[in-house]
Amino acid sequence: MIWVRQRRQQQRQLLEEYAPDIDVEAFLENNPILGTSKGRISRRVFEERISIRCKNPDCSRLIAVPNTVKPLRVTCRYKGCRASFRFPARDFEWLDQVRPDAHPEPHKIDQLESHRQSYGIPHNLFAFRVLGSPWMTRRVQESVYKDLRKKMPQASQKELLKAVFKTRAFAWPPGPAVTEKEIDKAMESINSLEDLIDHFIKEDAQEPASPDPFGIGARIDEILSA
Amino acid sequence: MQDVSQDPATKGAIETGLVSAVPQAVELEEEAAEIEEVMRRYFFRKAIYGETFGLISRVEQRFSRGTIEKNYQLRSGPFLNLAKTYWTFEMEVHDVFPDHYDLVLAQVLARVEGQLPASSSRLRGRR
Repeated sequence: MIWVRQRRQQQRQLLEEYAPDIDVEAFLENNPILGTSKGRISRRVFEERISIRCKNPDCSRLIAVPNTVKPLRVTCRYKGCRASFRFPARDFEWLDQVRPDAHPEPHKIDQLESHRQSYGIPHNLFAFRVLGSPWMTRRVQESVYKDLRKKMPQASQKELLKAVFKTRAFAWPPGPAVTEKEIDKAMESINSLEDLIDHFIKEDAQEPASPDPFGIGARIDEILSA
Repeated sequence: MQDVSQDPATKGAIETGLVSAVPQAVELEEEAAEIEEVMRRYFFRKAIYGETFGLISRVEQRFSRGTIEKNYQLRSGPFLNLAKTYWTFEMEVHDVFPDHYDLVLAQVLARVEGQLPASSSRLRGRR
């Protein structure tokens, strides 16, 4: 399930690149697939459920909420928590491109936005860098693992880890080609989620890094991992 | 192109065009990638000019609610215009399946279709 705000950003980018003559804002603001028009398709989109994390750091449980572009007031349903918070915590274009269950804590979002503004970094570029940080890799893989554990209750730990591996290896947009054989070979030394996340982070670190003369990317990693 | 699946269920899904026989992680040949880009630009050019890839009446025969306007409960606007271009393109692409699923061109067209902003597999089965 894709959060409609993420889908909206994908549609915006595609239209801006290939069809700038189309009124992009009008396209997005009256769009059944995004749930921004009236009617049964929009209602159905709202009835879909996406996972977000409780903003109470001592809880952090996954909570199912309606799939909507509108901000929501959410109350954690777990006893002993009952935290009430706004989702998304802030309305920033770059944040809309992040999986809802991998959103950073509100104070980190504020620090990141202040960092983005001070260098005037465009939202898309900033989102790309945030999504590539080791912290985000960890957060996303933890969420994917939890998700798959629910969907594959009979699977062994090794099968689950392999399934998580595949969701990343075969995700869109395509990265370097990975074969089943290569996945099996990598899986020989992976026995826990921690091993798997470490493997991905090492893999990312081997890719040629973009120049970061002002330490902008490093500061993003620092804020996220604090 | 070789058939990449020996599993009957996956093969069935590939033949219907619901699943690409070209794994997403596999980079297409440079020429195929160029064709994909050209097709994508061609699609949007038609969408900008409000053109369709075939008869809109053919699409409407497949919608249980009649017209595209009724299906989306919209009277006009850029989403509706693009949806008309999209659905006529989608029908042309799926005409290619199942007989020619193993052609690179068929797979390229399916990839273009899957990435369009009016595309949503969630809605595809609920016409």
